[in-house]
Amino acid sequence: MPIVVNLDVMMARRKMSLTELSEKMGITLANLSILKSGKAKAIRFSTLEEICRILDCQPGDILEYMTEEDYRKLMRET
Amino acid sequence: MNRIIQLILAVVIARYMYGLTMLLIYFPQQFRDFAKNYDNPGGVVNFESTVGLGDLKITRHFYYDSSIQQNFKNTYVGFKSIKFVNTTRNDTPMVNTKTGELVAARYSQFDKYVQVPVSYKKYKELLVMVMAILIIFLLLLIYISVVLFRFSVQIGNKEFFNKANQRRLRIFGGFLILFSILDYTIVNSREWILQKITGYSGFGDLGDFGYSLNLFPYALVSGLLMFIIAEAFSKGQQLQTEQDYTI
Repeated sequence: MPIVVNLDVMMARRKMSLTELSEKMGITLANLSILKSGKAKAIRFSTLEEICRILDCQPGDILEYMTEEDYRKLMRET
Repeated sequence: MNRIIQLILAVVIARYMYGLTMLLIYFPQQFRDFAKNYDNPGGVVNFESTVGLGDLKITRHFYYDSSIQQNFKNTYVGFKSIKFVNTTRNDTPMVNTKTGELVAARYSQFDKYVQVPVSYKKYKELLVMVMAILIIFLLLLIYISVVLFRFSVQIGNKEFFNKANQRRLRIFGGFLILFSILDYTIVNSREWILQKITGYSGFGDLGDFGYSLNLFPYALVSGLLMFIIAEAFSKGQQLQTEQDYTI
């Protein structure tokens, strides 16, 4: 799916660890890892709202659309 | 609720398995009795005992009943010459068939049955065939009962949508279709098989011998329904996965 989750980028900018974010959001570390690794199938508005509130960012900072080609290229690189 | 389903399932399966197991014991017993009472070859086969188990009704008789006497009349030249009204149970009139065979027939006034002789050897062949069918059904039933029991356990554990359940539903559906096709094939080829084994030609109907499950077409429809349910489970699994991966 060519929607990339840039959660790790925003977390790095805010100097926040995954554990800290999960504690602040009140969701499990496992679920947050699924989101961060891009394995998630969907994201609830409430989750997105929490992330934006804690990381002080916009949904567009977290989610990014890519073309299939770019996405495949990114996947190969990572 | 699941316990009740499992209990009903267990009762239904046990009922059928008990019936089939009893028949597997009952058939050889009858065969031994037959061997004791009738010499080889010949003798009038007069097995009319029925073991009824709801849909599973296994009968062994070898006669013409009154409803098919018209057919008998057309098949047997000598029919009219036999004065059935005046004959008794012990009479064994000879009947000429169109193919030139001379067949001893016995008319049972009380039962309105005309009985024809079947040799011990021929009956043995029939018995083996019927036993083989019963054993196949028994093995299939055991397998199906295990599959259904596992399925009900999963449902009891609230584990609906997974690959194993889909596979179980497809297996169950497949077996239902197989049962129905087997049933249909046996019912439709039974007369041909009996004619081939007994050697009597020109029979329009030989009555039931050893097998009647009446599964077709209900089992066929149920089997197809199982495949549809399996597809619904497949979709359910997809939705479940999406739900699990929605953060």
